[in-house]
This record gives sequence, C-alpha cells and structure tokens, in this order.
Amino acid sequence: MLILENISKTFVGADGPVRALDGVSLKLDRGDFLAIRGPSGCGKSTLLLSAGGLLRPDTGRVLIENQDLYSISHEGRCRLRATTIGFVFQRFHLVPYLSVLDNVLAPSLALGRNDAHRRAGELIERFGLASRMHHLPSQLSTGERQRTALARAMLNNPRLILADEPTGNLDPDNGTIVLKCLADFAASGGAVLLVTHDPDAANFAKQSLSMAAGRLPGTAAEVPVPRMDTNVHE
Amino acid sequence: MRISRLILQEIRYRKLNFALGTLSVIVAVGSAVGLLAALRQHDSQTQKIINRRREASEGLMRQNEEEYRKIGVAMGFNMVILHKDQSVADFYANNVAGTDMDENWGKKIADAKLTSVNHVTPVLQKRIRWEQYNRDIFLTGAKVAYMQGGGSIIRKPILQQLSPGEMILGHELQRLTGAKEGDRLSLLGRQFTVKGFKPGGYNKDDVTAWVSLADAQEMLGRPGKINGIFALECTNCGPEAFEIVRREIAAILPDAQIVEFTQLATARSNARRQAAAMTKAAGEQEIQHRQRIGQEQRRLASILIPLILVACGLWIAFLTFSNARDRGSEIGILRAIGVRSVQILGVFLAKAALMGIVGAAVGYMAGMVSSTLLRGGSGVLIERDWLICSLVGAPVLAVLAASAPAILAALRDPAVLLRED
Repeated sequence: MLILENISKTFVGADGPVRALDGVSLKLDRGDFLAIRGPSGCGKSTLLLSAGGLLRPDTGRVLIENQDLYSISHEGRCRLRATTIGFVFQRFHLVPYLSVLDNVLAPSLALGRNDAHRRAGELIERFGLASRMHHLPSQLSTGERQRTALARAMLNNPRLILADEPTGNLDPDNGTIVLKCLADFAASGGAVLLVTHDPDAANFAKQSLSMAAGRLPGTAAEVPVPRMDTNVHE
Repeated sequence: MRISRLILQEIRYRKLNFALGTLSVIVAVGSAVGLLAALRQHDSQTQKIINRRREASEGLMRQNEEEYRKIGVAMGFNMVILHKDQSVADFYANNVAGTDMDENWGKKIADAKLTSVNHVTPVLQKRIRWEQYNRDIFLTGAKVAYMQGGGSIIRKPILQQLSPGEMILGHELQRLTGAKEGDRLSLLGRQFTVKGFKPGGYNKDDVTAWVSLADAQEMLGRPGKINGIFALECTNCGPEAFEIVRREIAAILPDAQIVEFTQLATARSNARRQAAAMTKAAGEQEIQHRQRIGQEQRRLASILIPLILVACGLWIAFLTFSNARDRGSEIGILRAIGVRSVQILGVFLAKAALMGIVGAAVGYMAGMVSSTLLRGGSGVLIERDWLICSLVGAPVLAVLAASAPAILAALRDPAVLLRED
C-alpha cells in the first residue's frame, strides 16, 4: 500500500540546515494501523506530508500501490491523492465558509463523483453530524469539526489515511471517537499512518514506532525496511 | 460539489473583499463611461448649437434675400440695359435713352437663361406732351414677357402685362386726369382703357403712362425698337451681383451697357448681409470655444481613464493577493485532497471575473445616469457598444489584474500552507 524507501528531507532555516527526515523507511499494507510517536519537531509531520505526496523528499522514494509518487506528473499525483489518500489534521483545516455537508463534499471537486452526495450523507450520519449538516465550522464543537474532517477524508473511499495529530485538540471522549474510527477504517481493509505525540492515541494502532531527530529506530538507510506485521508498542 | 458553489459561498462569506473589488470596478467603469458620455453629450450639444446657428444664419440670409426681392419689386427695377452708344449722362439728364436697340435683345437675354437677372422687361420710353392736360409725361411701352432671366421660378411681375389699348397711369397722372379704372382716355390721338394705377413713388414713374410695347412703338413710329431693358438683378448673388450681371450680359449682348440706378435695396441688403455675417462669426466663435473645451475634456479623459483603470487593476490585484493569503489553509487542504492547482487558479480568476461583470453592469448604469444628471438631461440612453465593451473589458481587466496573485496562490506549496497554519 505505502512504502517509504530511505527518504530524507533537509530544510534550510535561519540557523542553518535542519535534517527533518534522515533515511526513513517503512512499509504499510492494507489493514495496517501504524502510529509514529515523537516529540514536536522530530519530523513526524514532514514524514506524513512526504508520504502524502505533498512534500518531495530530497532522497528516497515514496511508493503508493507500487507507483512512485514523485516520479509521476503533478496531475497524476493530485489524482492519486484524491482517489487513494485521506488526510486528517490536528487543526482540521475545514473550509470556513462551507457547511459541514459541503466540507465533506469538498474532495468531490477533484473527482466529480456522481454518488458524492449520497456518500457524504452516509458519512455525516455515521459520524453523528446529521443535525449539524448545514452548520459552518465556526458553529461546531472541536470534536464535531474533527469528525467532519474525518468524514471528508473518507468521502472518496481512500485506501490510506494519513492522520497528523488528529486528537491533539480534542477532549479524551472525542479523541477516542476519532481513533476508533481510524481503527475501524484499518480493520475494514484500509491503511492508517498516524503521527502523534500522545501515547494514548498510539495505543489504538496495531503498531507504534517512536521517532527522534528525523529517524525511525531500526529503519536507517542501511537496515532493511521493517514489515509492520506485529504490534510494537513502545 | 462544483467549483462555482465554492466561489459563491466564499463570496458570501467574505463579502467585504468582493464588495471592495466590485466597487473599484464600478468606480473605474462608471468614471470611464461617465466621462465618455459627458464628452459625447458635449459633442452632441455642440453639434446642436452648430445646427441651430447654421439654421439661424441661413434663415437670416433667406429672410434678407426675400426682403431684398420684395424691396426690389416694390421699388421697381434696379437696373437698365442700354445700347452702349447711349450717353449715360444724357440718360440721366433726360430720364430716357435716345439710342434704340432691337426689340429681340430682351428675348436674347431670356433665352440665355441667366440666373443673375430677373424681370427682364424691354421698354420703349419717350418724354411726350399730353396736350389734353398740358403736361409733359413719360410714355413707356413695356413688354412683360420675360419674367425670369433664366430660372424656372415664376414670380409676380413688377409691371402688369398690358394688351394693346390698355393703359396704367402713374400716381400723379391719376390725380391729374381724375381717371378711374375702366375710364377711356386719349393720348397722342389713340384711345386707351385705364387698367390701373401705380402707387406714388416720388420718381418719374409718378408721371408715366404705361402702355403695351406694341402701342408705344406705333405711337412713336419706332416699330421693332426699344431703348431700354429694365431688369432686377438677382437677389442672392451678394455684393458682386452687379459685376456678375455685367459680365453675363456682355457675353450675350456685346453692344449693351448696364446702368444700376437703384442703390437703396442693395445698401439694405448689404447691411443685412453684414449683420448675418457677424451673427455667423459670433456663432462660430462660440462653437470654436466649445470645441476647444471638448478637446481639453478629451485630453483629460485620455489621461484620467487609463489612470483609473490602472488603479482599479492594482486594487484588484491587491485584494486578490490579500484574499489568497487569507485562504492559505484552505488552498493547502484543497490541494491535499486532490484539487488541482489549475482549479485553484480558476477559483480566484472566476471570482475576479465576477467582480468585473457585476462592477461593469452597475458601473455602466451609474456612469450613464450620473453623466445625464450632471448635464441636467433626462432619459438615460443605452449605448449598446459601450455596454458590451464594459461587460467584456471589465472582467478581462479584473482577470488580468488578479492573474499574478492567483497564479502565485495556485502554485503555493501545500505542505508549507498546511504547516503554516
């Protein structure tokens, strides 16, 4: 489903170059739910953006369903994101002037699905947002916002969800709801890559890795890519 | 969901941004249309003044010519064609010419169809003694056959056409004879029926008996002869009319000479002509003044309109840039979920185009209405070409202005945008 092969990324800041990713490799199959934990600035979000085709790594390859994400065209990458990947962010990134329904429907802008409305209705129902369907994000609680973002991520039936601190702004109850949804998604055959600094959140994942200074332990360039076939709770 | 919904919802959400952009288009289009309409109205009013002045001037000239004609007719003939051997001094001294000409000279003038003379009337005149009343009078035989030198207009003759045996008496002779119309009078042994009288003119006509040319030729024993051709020089040939007549007559009758003996009508005509010329000059001065103002307004408009359009473009560019900056997170997430950068570009450009269309429609009406109100007119004219120009030009301008910030927004790195938030 998702393979990262020895990817590295360096940012040049005011204080000199910062190596955000340093030879990271991993592999994620259908049904996998991998949590990557680590402190702020350790490169988790950079890893997620690179995996999602939004940030080209300096070296290494990102393969999604055996397609090298950064060797295909910009258009092809957009389409692949639209059809295959769902994103969930800590800050929700809902479009402020669109209702819950329209926010959930937003991915249909990229694909123009005929059944988008039906699918959006199902997701809104499933995430308990039916009574809020026509509300703006500013009228929602944080939990409702994240559930809206989750519903949006699932509209196009993605096979991979990349979640960046999805529970970071939520209370424990809402955090649990979101993590359960992600676990359900993985259980239904999808793949989830969750980056978080919350150990409790990582508990919902099948596997968990700790990241530090842009490295995943045991995934340096020189070592084989780990196969996530066992729970690795640190 | 369609992109159009995204655009409309965003406009509803950020009304101020859209309103400010639209307002700038309204101001730009309104100013441009208003200025152009004002210029058009100024030109139109100038043209109306030109037409009014021209009509007034032409009317004055027509009135002048008509009055001149009437005066000419009222005063009688104003020129006489004599044989070139006739002494003008003798003519003035005796009031009649002594040198005869052929009667057909009159016909020659008429056949030449000259436009410079009217009322061509061959006459045979002589001072005679009317023994019955013991008075010297002038006998004038006239042939009123050639009403017009060459034109086709039939005018009322200065002299009444008389048949043989008919007579018209001057005012003094009417008083002297006490005759009434229809009375029979004897002159040089011939009987005449009085056909009418000429009103007093304080000239020799007052003591003239008018008969047919044939009668006069018989009475004076000069068959086929005349000693003068009275005529009225044309009324619309200007001050140089007499020279024209002289030139044209000389071409037909080289043995003729022309004596102009009535100056009053000419003097009046010249005075009126001068007044008309002064009126015309004053009008032209005003027209030139208005045309100068029009040129200055056009020059001003040629500077102002581009300035306003550039300012409007810069303002829209700034608003689009500001809008794109505010929507960083939105652009980032849309890109993340697969929306292409060209679609993002379309969102910004379509919004700018919408500003252009709405601004053009409102600005056009505002420009036309304000221009009409400022000019104190009523009824707004819809210039279709300007409307089309506005509805096409304003969106194009807005899209061009928005294109640079829109391209920058579309090309922004989604990873950076998502991290920034």
